[in-house]
Amino acid sequence: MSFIADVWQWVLDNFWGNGGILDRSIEHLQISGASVVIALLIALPPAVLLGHLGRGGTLAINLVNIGRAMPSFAILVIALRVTGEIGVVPTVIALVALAIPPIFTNTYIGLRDVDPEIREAAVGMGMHGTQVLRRIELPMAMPLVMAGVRTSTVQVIATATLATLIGWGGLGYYIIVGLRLNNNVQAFGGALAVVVLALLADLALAGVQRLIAPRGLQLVEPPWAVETAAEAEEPETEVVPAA
Amino acid sequence: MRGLRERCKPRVLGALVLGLSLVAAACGDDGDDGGLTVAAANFPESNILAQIYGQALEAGGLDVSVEEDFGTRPALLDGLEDGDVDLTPEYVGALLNELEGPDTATGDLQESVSLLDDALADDGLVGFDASPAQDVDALAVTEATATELGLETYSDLAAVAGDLVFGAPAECAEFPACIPGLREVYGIEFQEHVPLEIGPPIFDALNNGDIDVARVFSTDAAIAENDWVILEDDQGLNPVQNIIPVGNEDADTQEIAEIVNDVSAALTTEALIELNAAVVSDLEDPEDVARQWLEDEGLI
Repeated sequence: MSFIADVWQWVLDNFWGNGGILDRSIEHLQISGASVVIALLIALPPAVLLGHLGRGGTLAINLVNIGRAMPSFAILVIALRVTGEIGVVPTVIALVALAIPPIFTNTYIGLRDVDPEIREAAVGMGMHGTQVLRRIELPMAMPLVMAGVRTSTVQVIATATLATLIGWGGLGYYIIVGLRLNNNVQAFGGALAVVVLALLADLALAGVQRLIAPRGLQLVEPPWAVETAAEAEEPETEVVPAA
Repeated sequence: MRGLRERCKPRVLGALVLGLSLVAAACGDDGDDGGLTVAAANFPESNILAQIYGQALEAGGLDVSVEEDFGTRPALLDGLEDGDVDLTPEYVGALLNELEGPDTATGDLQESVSLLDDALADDGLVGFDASPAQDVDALAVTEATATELGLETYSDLAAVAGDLVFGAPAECAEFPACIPGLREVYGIEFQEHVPLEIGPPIFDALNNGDIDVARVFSTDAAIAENDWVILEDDQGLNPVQNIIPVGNEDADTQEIAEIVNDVSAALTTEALIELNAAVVSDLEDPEDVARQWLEDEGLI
């Protein structure tokens, strides 16, 4: 138990100030956020297009998966050598390569998985391609797309710890310094901070997902809403059965 | 120190059947087949050094086998005790700290060597003469920076450090012999510390001008390739890391000591830089590189 007490004391001692936990968490979020946004800009258009057309998906998914197969540290060092930069640029390149595959794959699959009968019905109602995409396919794919974004974000936040090796700060500092100088409290504290940051980001994105998902696709009512409805039993909210 | 007893204690029941045969094999072979085994730690410089000492002993008429990439320092120490290894190239400061705890080694060679000799004797091991060659944590600047600012020593850095960016691994910020030591001993306060790993990240950053001063190892091949200037640690902040061959009782003979000490005396930090460059950059075989150097020095 004293270890946990030590970690808590470490958090209290190092939270504020220049180079403190808060400071480094912000750095960490900045580089992670930028990487996920860039990955979205790169991955979404081709994934949406190919998913809509239903072509070339397998090839594309295998291509983007190279980013997943290559160790991030290898990409980091290659990016560093190729660009001749340290810090932000190689780090973002490595993290974008990591973030693209889940976003791309989930978006493509999300669009492909739209029930063909629904798509045909939409066409039958007179919708043209863009309308089908905007009003049917994208909304229906949204839960999977967001799942991809959330996966990418958590992975990116965890991996951004590597940035400390090539000239960017972030929370990786505590882990690397803690491990190298045999300070387990600091290493664990740093890892804990990364976990908390990843969970908070995931929670925030879950909120976004709830906000942007079409109501018809929200399968489960939030529990509190169900409860109030049952308790209230107000007649005007009762659905009148169709004759 | 971990010894024979611990290694031979079967730990996991499930692995007993398979394990016993391996354990029996490990315990049965005490390496005492009359020959001398020179083993290296698992990095290029250690392999080169093991080849150098091994080939010199072979030329002296001994029956020698050289084992490259034997393992880490603890594995080598176990090997010395078991007799699997008879001689291994070591570093004064690193070995002393391993045996006697961190921060035992100092910047004073004689003091550290005498502490090391005592520690080795306690384990039934022997240290030969320390070489002037040193693989120590060092600060490098580009030739242009050195000329422009007139930098030769750490002390020279103190006056100009406020305008210089320092590239070093993240832990340098808290490691006693790095940034805190530079501040206390020399009064060096860099403008900024950029966390960078020693290797391509730090080398590229120094050449590109992203950083002005880089933390490196004094025998790194990159120093020769890039004509960097290594600054002298004139107040002895970093613990000495001179090369020192270490052996067990099988290696503790007058004949071996003479050969090994001659080699150590001829070895220099500059020579090690060149040898490392040949192996790491030009991908030559440590065995050939070692033979060439011994011939050039007239040692074989």
